[in-house]
Parts: sequence; structure tokens; C-alpha cells
Amino acid sequence: MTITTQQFEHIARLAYLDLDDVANQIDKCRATIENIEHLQTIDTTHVSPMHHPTSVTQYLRPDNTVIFPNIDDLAHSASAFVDNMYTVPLIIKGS
Amino acid sequence: MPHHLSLSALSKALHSKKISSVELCTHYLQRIREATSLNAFISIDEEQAMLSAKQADQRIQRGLATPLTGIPLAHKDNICTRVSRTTCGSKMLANFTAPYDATVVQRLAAEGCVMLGKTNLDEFAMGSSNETSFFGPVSNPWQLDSVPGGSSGGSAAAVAARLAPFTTGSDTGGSIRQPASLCGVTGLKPTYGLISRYGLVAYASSFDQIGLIAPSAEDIAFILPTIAGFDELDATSLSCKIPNYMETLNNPIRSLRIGLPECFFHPEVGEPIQNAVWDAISVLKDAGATFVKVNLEHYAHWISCYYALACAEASSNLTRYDGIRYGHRSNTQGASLRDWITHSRTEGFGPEVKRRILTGTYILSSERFNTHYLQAQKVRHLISLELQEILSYVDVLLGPTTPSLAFPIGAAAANPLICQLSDIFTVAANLAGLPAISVPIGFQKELPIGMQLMGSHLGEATLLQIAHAYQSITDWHSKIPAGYSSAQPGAKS
Repeated sequence: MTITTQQFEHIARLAYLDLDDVANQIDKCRATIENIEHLQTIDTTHVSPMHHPTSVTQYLRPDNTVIFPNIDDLAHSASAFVDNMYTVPLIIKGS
Repeated sequence: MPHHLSLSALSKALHSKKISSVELCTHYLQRIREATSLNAFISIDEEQAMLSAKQADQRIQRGLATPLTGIPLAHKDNICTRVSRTTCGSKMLANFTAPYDATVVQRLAAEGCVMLGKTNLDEFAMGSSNETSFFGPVSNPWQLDSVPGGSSGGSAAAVAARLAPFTTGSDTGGSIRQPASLCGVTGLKPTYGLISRYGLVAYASSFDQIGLIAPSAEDIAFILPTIAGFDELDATSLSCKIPNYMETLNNPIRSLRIGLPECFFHPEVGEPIQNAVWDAISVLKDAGATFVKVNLEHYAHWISCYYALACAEASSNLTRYDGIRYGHRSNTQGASLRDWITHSRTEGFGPEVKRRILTGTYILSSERFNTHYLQAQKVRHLISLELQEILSYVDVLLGPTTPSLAFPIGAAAANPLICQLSDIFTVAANLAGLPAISVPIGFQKELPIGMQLMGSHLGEATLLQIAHAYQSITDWHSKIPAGYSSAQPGAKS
């Protein structure tokens, strides 16, 4: 069982990558996936999945609104930032 | 010459005012300028470095210095800094400057360390040759047409060429140890959670770990306590007592048991590498260590398990790059928001990153989630349990860091397996969250060979102790590539 061309097209769409651009990657992805599929031959009955190398404790801060202190720094790396807001072009589907 | 000194010797020279931080930074910045052909750095901020150096000198003058005050360093360019852009070696973040400093950056700056610049890396730390960087490949200082390894290739090359006394790196599957091995320097990947990942741009969050690259284990022991320790900004940070690694560095290794996995010595491992490792074993035996053969039943599944999970986590982590808030934004809009985001991501990411995103997206798809993703997590558990069990009766596992020497720039493009296989011995430490160190142990055709020691959970002190014992007897770690030993890089020494 390996990735088909149809599945690859679906995956590219899910990953927000242009299919024409990544079409030539299918063989390399397929090779990696085939190696990964060998893992299915291992008996993992009664083995629990290991999500993390340590038992993670989530350190949650108090659920208060915090004003980010460096708004100007955010603007610096934004493509378009006006009045403390990210701006995007108006896109009307089908126009 | 300052670039021949250890970090503790540099610290003494600074504190006794034999050299100032400004002089030291001037020296290293000059070396960086003269070694630009290595392409080890993506950003260099001389003005900021000199300002920090002046502040460090004032601190020393006032008697407020700590042992690291005034010592220069460079950060891998996937570690966020406010004063300098953080590109991750990607077009996607080519113009991104983080609005905050990573915890490791803050802690070193608070001690008075001086950042010289940001080092080159494989794009988003995905690669083992430093050839996937948008900013071009890094050369190995030992042989300029060879790769330095990756993904922390710039950090390792910079230390090898003595362009910085030490550098930070990140290690997801071997990204500190593999380049350290190929560049003939010492690289430590600490226990998962020992060093805060706050401000490290995420690749595969359950594997990523910040670590250190320096000429010697003693240098690493000198810095590690400063950056290790709990950080409430990292949910995976460990709350544990941080030892003084310098205090235990000289403890004898007589009572230590070292495991030798037979699978690390298979025929595909180059003969010169095997010979160098056996020579290193003899050195450690003479120092009193005991060796025990061990069997790693799940060794054959390490790489597949790593790629399944790392790609899955990468595809999830890199979803955030849509070009809207930050990162590359396409000028081609298309007919919908989806088209626009697709254009931005397609233009912003390089081929290796796209390949891993696609592979990971496939593994996480609803049809494959149980058979591929969960199965890989179960295999990860088996691998981790096996390593824990073995490390309950030996102190460390020893073997080569890589199965081959640094390969020529361009070779991996024709055969991507070269890169995947170069991580074959290193990924297990990341799968299990264990610490591991690479130590230089010799040369073949002027290219360095490295030995890896993998320890138990929070076993950094033992790793550094064994590495230091080896480096007290040998001098491989103090070798500097021809052309980089003298005051002016480029001049043959």
C-alpha cells in the first residue's frame, strides 16, 4: 500500500501547496512512506503510543487578557499592518 | 591567540583584564569577515555586538561580572532574537524579526555574553548537510567542497573555524551531533526539557531540543548551567536541580560501564570510522572504563519511526505559515484566500520542507492516522523502553556519530538517502528524549570522525565526564583546520 497520484493531489491541497510545483516530489515522498510502512509489521499489541518523551505538565498562565508590549515589533515583520491590524487584499471568489 | 583558548581561560583573561570584551569581539568579527566563503553566518550585527561588548567591559570594571561576561557567541538562526532577524534559513522568514528573545538568548545575554550573529542552517532545521538553506550551503572548514553536516551546519562550521568560541544549535534528529562530528568539534544534545525551547522555531516539537557546540566538553560544561533549568514559558521544561557540571568533570571514569551496541559496527560503517571508534574505546579502557556488549533489537526501526513522527509534527507546526501575519506573502493573489495562501507557501518553502510537509500530511490524514501515526508512536515507545532498560545497567552507549565522513556538496541532491542515513545513530536520543554528545576522535583524509555517547535521562554530567576524560588524553578536539588556526583565517597556518 503506498500513496497514489490521486491521494498525493489531495494531500497537496490539504497542505496548501501548489500541485504543479510539488508533483515531482511524489517519488521521493513515496520512498519515505514505504519505509515508514514497514513499521506496521511490528507487534505493538498492548503498547501505548508515546506522544512525548516526558510526561508533559501544561504550565498555564492565568486566563487574563494581556496586552502584547511590542506591537511595533509585530508590525515590523508583517507584510501589511495598519492601525494595529494585519491587512489583506480584498479577494472575491470568482471575480 | 584568543581563539585557541578554552572558555574558562577566556573568562580568566577577561576578568584579569588581560583582554577586553571589545578586543575579543573585534578579533572574532574580523575572523568572521575573513571567512565569509564558509557562509557560516546568515546575519552579523557588528554594531550591536560592539555595544554589548562595551557594556560587558563596564560590568567587569564595576566588579559585577559573571564567568560568562564578555564572551562572544553565535546563535543558530532558528532561535528568536529581537535585535537580529530569525530566518530559519528560509525564504519564508527571510525578513522576519521576532518580537521577543528566546529564553536561551535572554539567559546568555543576562550573563553578559555577546552575540556576534546568527548562523546558517538547513531550512527550518530540516536536513543533514546544510544544503537546503535559502541562503546557500555552508562549507566544511576542513574541506571546503564538503558539507559541514546539518542542520546546525553553520554553528558547527563557525566553531571549527574558530569564528566564535561557542554556538547554540538545535537537535531534532541529530542536528547538533552530526555536524559536530563532520566538523571535528564537540556537540551536546541535552535531555529533552533540560533547556527551554521557548523561542526556538518549532520543527518537530516532541523532538526539538536546544544544545551547544564548542571545541571541548569542558567548554560545554562551563556554559550549560547558565542555559539549563526550568522555564515557565515552555510547557515541556523540566523542573530539576541543575548540577555544576564543571565540578564533576574530572571525576575518574573507573567505575563507569559503557555499552557497545553491536549494530553500530555494521559493514556499512566506513572502516576508518570503525577503527577510530575502536581506538577511542582503547583510550577509555585504559582510563578504567568497563565495556559491555549490548543488543538493540529495535535499531532497524529508528529512522522510519523518526521520519514518520517528525514529518507529521512538521506538517502541523508549519501550517502557521500563511503569509498573512508574517512570513513570505505572494504577490499572486488567485481567486480565493486558499489560492493566495497556497501561492505564499509554495513560493516561501524549499523542496525539502515541502517534501516533509507532504509526507507528514499524508501520515496525519484520517485514513492513515492509526496505521501510520499511532503505530509509529507505539514503536517509539518500544524504542524508548528498550533504551531505558539497557541504560539501567550501563551508564552510556557508545558508537560512531555518523556512518560516513562529510560528503561532497551536491552529493545529497542525487541521493537523498545519504542524508537520511547520516542520522541513523543519532535519532534514537531524540525518540527517547535522552542526552547525547558527539566528540571528535580522529581524521580520515583530513575529514573529522566523531564518536557519540548517549546517556540516561538527565545524565549530562556523566556524558561530559567521559568526554572530558577522553579529551584530557587526546587532542583531536583542539585541532583547527589549516587556514583557520592563525590570526587571519584564509592564511595557511
